[in-house]
Amino acid sequence: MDVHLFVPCYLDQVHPEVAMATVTVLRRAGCTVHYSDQQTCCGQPMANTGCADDAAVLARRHLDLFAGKTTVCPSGSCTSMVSHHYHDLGLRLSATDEKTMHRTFELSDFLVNVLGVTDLKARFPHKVSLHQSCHGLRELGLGVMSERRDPPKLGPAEVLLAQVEGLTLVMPERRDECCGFGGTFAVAEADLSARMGHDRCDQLSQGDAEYMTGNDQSCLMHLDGIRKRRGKGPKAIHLAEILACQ
Amino acid sequence: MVDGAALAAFSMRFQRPVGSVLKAHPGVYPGPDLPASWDVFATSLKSVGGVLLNAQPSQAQAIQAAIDMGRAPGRVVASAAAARLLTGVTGWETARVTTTPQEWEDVDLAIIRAESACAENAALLVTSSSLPERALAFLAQRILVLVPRNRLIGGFMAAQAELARRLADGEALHHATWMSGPSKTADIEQTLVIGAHGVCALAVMPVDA
Amino acid sequence: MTARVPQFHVDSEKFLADQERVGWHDGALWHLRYKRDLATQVVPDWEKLRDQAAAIKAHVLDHIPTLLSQFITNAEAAGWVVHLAPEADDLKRIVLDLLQKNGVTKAVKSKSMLTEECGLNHHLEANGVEVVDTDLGERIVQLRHEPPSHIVVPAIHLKRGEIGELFHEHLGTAKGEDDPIRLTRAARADLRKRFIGAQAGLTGVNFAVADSGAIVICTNEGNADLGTALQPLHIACMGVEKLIPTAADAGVFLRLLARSATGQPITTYSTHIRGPDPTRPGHQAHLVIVDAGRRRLFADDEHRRALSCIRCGACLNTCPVYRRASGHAYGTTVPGPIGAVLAPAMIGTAKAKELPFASTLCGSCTNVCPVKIDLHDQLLSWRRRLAREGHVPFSKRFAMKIGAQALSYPWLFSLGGKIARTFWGLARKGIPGPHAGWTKHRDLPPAPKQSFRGWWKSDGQNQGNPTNKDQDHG
Ligand code: SF4
Repeated sequence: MDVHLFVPCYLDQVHPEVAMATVTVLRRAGCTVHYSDQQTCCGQPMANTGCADDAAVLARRHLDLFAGKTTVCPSGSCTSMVSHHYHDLGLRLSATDEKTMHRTFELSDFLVNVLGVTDLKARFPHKVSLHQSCHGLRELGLGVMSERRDPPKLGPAEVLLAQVEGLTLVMPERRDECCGFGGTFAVAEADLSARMGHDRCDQLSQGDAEYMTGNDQSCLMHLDGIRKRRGKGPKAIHLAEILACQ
Repeated sequence: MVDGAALAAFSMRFQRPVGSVLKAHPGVYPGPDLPASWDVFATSLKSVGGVLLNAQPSQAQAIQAAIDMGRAPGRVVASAAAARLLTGVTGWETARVTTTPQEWEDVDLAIIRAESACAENAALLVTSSSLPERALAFLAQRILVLVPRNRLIGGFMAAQAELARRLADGEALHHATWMSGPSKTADIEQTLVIGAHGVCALAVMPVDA
Repeated sequence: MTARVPQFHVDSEKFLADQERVGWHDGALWHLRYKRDLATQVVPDWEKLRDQAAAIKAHVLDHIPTLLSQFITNAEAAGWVVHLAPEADDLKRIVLDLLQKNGVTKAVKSKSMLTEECGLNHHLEANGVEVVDTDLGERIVQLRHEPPSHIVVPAIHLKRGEIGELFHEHLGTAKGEDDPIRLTRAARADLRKRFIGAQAGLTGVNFAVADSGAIVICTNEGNADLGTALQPLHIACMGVEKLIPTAADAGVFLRLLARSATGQPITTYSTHIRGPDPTRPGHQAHLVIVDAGRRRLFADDEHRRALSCIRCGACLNTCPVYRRASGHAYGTTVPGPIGAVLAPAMIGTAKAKELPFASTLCGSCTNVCPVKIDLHDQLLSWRRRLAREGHVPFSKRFAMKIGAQALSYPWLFSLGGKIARTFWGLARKGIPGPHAGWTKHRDLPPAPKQSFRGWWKSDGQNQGNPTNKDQDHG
């Protein structure tokens, strides 16, 4: 299958290894990966700050660039921005735009629910705790939400991690508590955000986890920054990186 | 009577613009079919801090035991509706009709009759029809609630629907209370304390009406 | 609502200064969330029940005038004297008038967020009426002369020792007594005297049933019942949004409310009242129906559904920000996610401009809300409104504008990225300037040698299987 890679702006610049791992995994799953270096940012930081007009400019660019393509992104919140929030920006959306939004998938969702992978031949002999990032979980529905009483169904990240040889998954006590990142919140309410991050690091350390993983590098970057500063806790590693390990 | 013009002016502020698509009522919600089981009721009651008593060996003896058990110096007062169920039981008085309900302040044990009970949430229905002596149920330190055995309803949707029907049929009820366990609070450090302002203990006994 | 301008950032920092207390507060509220989870797990139709409640409330918001007139007709037939209060001042005037006409000097009041919001107590006290809040938590904060920090558990920010001190001073409990049972008993004894001595009982309203003219009041303590069954005068105050169509509908909300709030299957006392008590000659029952700014929310198509709130407090308990900032940081009567949604309409966007940003938009509030208010989306849409109205701080807007422009040109974006990566390494332990907020508590990741786009151009597009040796797990 031909897939077009949507690499969130901060991944491109700060965590290219996650995007590289995404390429590896998609190729291993049999996809032909395309990437356009004309892409920049989906507009999420602007949209979440309320600056809809500024976000709309970027959203328009994004939709035109990815028009009608099957797009995969290794971030739940950026995916959700495209698939769920482009409606909120006052844009005129064509049928193609709607299709583009609809065909934008978060990586784990794509692997499990579109490709139906059952074994990526990944090996990662470690104890890993899973941080389910909020937007992927509560907007894209990538997992069981602790608040809701829906019929139980494993999320794609859990499905994939179960396929990894040697990996022991530990779920934190508060399954899906927010890590406190929240985009500009992390800077505007730095103390609150940090306190939430500390608490989340504690929860993700339970069961002697060596690594904490998830499908949103922004949350992981925040958690790992706190982990490094305090000098204890599991190391952050993106789900794609685990899946790429052999 | 509220002034018609004032009401019209007030209502205007909450009027959807002409031409808006107005959402219809979703219809009566029957809720799940929950079993009318005294075992389920007992579990619910326990979770809200109440106890279920059995009418053993006989109803009168069981009520007598409940009265005698933990007898404090205060009075034992039965509502008129409950009094009818107390033949053969001693050591209690009937609540008199009063315009000064404060006089029940020193009641230790109130005995009342509930009209129905709900297994889902251990709620017991008392209304102005079965309990015109309303304050009695709140001023007493402890309460014994007698419920006709055949008046157990499984789910609360059905239980409330029954009350709703009575109101719709024009029964002139002044008050109707669902009571679920004794009064409680957790306002101090989330520590559950049974006995806030209302009763400190509540026992339920299914009886033959 | 109070005239105070909320200062979320400043006030949350104050609470955060005591890190030990923050952890304790978070735990106490999470415990409520946990009990809510347990209670909802055993309800087979939980999600359907929420759908039904949301649909009833949506219907109500589209039919207020009809339901209101039906309600008033039935209420008056049941003997209620109905008053309309377009503004908070009208509520205060109506209630004071009624109390004065009846020579009331002592009144008891059960919980009502509406009267809190309108500042009723203060007005009555200033005019010589003693008003005692009878909900234990409300009594505690009343004695401390502070507002509630939570809508269901008003004194959740206080520790038992502090309440012990307070009761020692006001209720004469032993010095150092901090046992919740003994403290509760002391309050019970004191408040009993006040229930019996009061000449009037004020209450809020949880639901106003249009088809029968009944109001439904829910408490666990029994204080609304003791505060209406003994006094010759009952005054109930309700916001117009409390209307529900039928008594059968009340069943839906009663099944949701306590489970969402505290994890009980239903509140201990859920009382329907219709007018004056016929067994007590001379008993009067008055009902004040209040607008006080609700019309502004009603007129706002994007946020009208926030009026569906049944004040269960679940969104506060689940909110990771509320749990660590505490209710007082919001500076409004109703704090937490719903407070931040209501405030911009109720007190104005200028005053409330910080509140919609007091959230990570995690969405947990939306998921717990029993009436399915899309709280986190509402916060987001308030952010857009604030930005449009120029209430988003210049620094934030400016950064977004520059960002959006730079990001519109890939070459500018990658040039910016190159420069940033060069300086990044130098700044890892503490970037000066606007992003100091990041490095105050966190290390930055090491700067990668190459961006993804750089790698793709040089290697990635040609490789069958790229390696990931660049990873930093250190
Ligand atoms: S918004 Fe929803 S969850 Fe929050 S208090 Fe209101 S009803 Fe409860």
